[in-house]
Amino acid sequence: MNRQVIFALLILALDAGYLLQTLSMPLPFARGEPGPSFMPLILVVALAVGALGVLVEELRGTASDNGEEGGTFGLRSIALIVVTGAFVWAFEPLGYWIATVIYTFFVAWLFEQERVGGLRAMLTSALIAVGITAVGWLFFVQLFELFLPEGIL
Amino acid sequence: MSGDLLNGFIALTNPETFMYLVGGFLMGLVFGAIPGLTATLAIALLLPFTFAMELTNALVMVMAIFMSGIYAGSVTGITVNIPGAASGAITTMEGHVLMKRGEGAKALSMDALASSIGGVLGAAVLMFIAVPMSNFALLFRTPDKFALVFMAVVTVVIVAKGSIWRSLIAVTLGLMVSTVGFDNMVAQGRFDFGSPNLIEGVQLLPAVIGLFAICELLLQGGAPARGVLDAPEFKVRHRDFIPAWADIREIGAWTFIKSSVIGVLIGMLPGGGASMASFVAYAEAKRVSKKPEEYGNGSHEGLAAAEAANNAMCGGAVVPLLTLGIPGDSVTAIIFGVLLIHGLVPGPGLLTNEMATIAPMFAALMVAAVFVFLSVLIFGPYYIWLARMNRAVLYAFIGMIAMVGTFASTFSVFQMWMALGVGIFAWLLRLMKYPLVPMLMGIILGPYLELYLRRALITSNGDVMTLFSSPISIGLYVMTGLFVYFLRYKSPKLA
Repeated sequence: MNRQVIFALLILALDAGYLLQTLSMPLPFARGEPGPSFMPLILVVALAVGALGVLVEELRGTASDNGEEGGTFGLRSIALIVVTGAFVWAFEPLGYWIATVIYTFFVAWLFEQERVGGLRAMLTSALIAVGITAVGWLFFVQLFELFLPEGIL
Repeated sequence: MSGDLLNGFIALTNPETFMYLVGGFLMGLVFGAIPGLTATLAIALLLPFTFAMELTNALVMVMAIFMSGIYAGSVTGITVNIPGAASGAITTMEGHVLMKRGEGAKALSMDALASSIGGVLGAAVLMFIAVPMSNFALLFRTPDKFALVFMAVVTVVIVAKGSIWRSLIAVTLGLMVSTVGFDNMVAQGRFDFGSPNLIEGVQLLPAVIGLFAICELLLQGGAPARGVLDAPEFKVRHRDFIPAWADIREIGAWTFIKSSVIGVLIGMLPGGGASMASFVAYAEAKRVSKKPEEYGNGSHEGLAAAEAANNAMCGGAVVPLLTLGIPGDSVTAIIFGVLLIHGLVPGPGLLTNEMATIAPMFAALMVAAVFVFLSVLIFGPYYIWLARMNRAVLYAFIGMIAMVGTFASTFSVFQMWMALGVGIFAWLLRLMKYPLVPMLMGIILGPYLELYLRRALITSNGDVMTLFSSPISIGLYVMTGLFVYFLRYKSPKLA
């Protein structure tokens, strides 16, 4: 079973969850008009048709990967998710300056270490982080007068 | 109308507006030229800032990004054989051969000239066709509007590259996202799980930021390190970027005009896009060329045809957005969001009521097209360096603007989580080779598709035949069928 098949099955599971939620609403035309569940029920069918189409293509070996660009899984992507999640979590308590300097430092380091090595990347990433955070503050606060949390500062 | 158009150009003479035009142009140039980044991403990152901008400035800046971003996709294609965007693929094929022959400056200047001509013609067509088309759109009744949105959804599915089933899944997921939150016609929440944040639905801003900015950041996380690009092998002066009259005559005015018209027409199709425009114009130019053997081996004519078409597409793409309320691609879908943020609803009536507000947008598109040619004269010798930008700076900047921008425009940490969640989901879809543009179109068009369908059925007491009751809706269904036939079953292999 290849990963496209597994993903299509996950889509079907998602569809089943959506259907369960839809069925908790009044059925279409129960009150004389299409109602809030009408469109979701159509979408349940459409998603199931799409997922079954993928499954049939994959199982018959007629699937084509021509055209649409994909991507490569990398541990750095997982690290970026963790770092971004931590940034969102700490944004209000720590405030814009501290949270953003730390966030941009880690993001820059994740890319910079492949170019100049881990240790030297710490220095360049620190400079990049301070520069980008300052530019962001100038843009958001000074130029567009938008509010950013100050946190513990 | 002509007075409003003239006022649109006059609005650009305001120093502040002009600075936004120049700023947007440069932003589009940088994002378009860097492989992996696109004009769509540039406009997505700009979206949070548009909350704080005056509408005219926001529209002018977005148009400038659109025009220069499409053009710049070919710049690094010519210089280092890496197109900044898919739309630059054809130009890369011809332009890089010229580059290796030592005619890099010539290729870049012809590239810019053709883009300028195409861009100006596209903007001119937009100015003349938009109002009549908008007036026609006022005749649409609810079933016709449903047929129109349905056509857009179907077309988006069929023009996506790769598997049609994955495209159907992507657009349906977008439509499902649009059903989250308070029902517009009945006082009932849907799919909100009791959350006061979800009852408002998934807002467009975190959806766009997640789909394009966060997803791109995560994709780059998995991309291998880019090799250090060689320094340019050619030494050129600014004056080398002035195109030779003999070359322009050899290509001929008809090639520029015909390619531009092809670009505008393809731009007007939902899901048309710059890649398709450049490919069709290139194929047509080759078909009638006196020197078809040069195509693929460094043809100025082929390069000019492809570039004129993909920039003319910009004007065409805006027509269905403003007149019918149908965004044809990801860029116009985000422009849709910019208009909504400022209280303007794209579609029939917009140009009739708000022409004075929209006119600077038309003017900006035309002026930005002129800037394209000026830019190669000024920046031509430095274009090579755009592809060498430090990835650490680039992606740290994108991450910061995406997340902080989401907070700054919504004042909500929940919306930051939403952007991250959408971004992770979009990343998974891309890893599995699912297209993202249909999903965005589903999110944007979903509320309209549902509203028109339910309204039509309510007024007809549930009679489904009401959807096929008028000549306009029948015409639109026939067009949908023709699109399916020609774009899916009879389409050329796209680059």
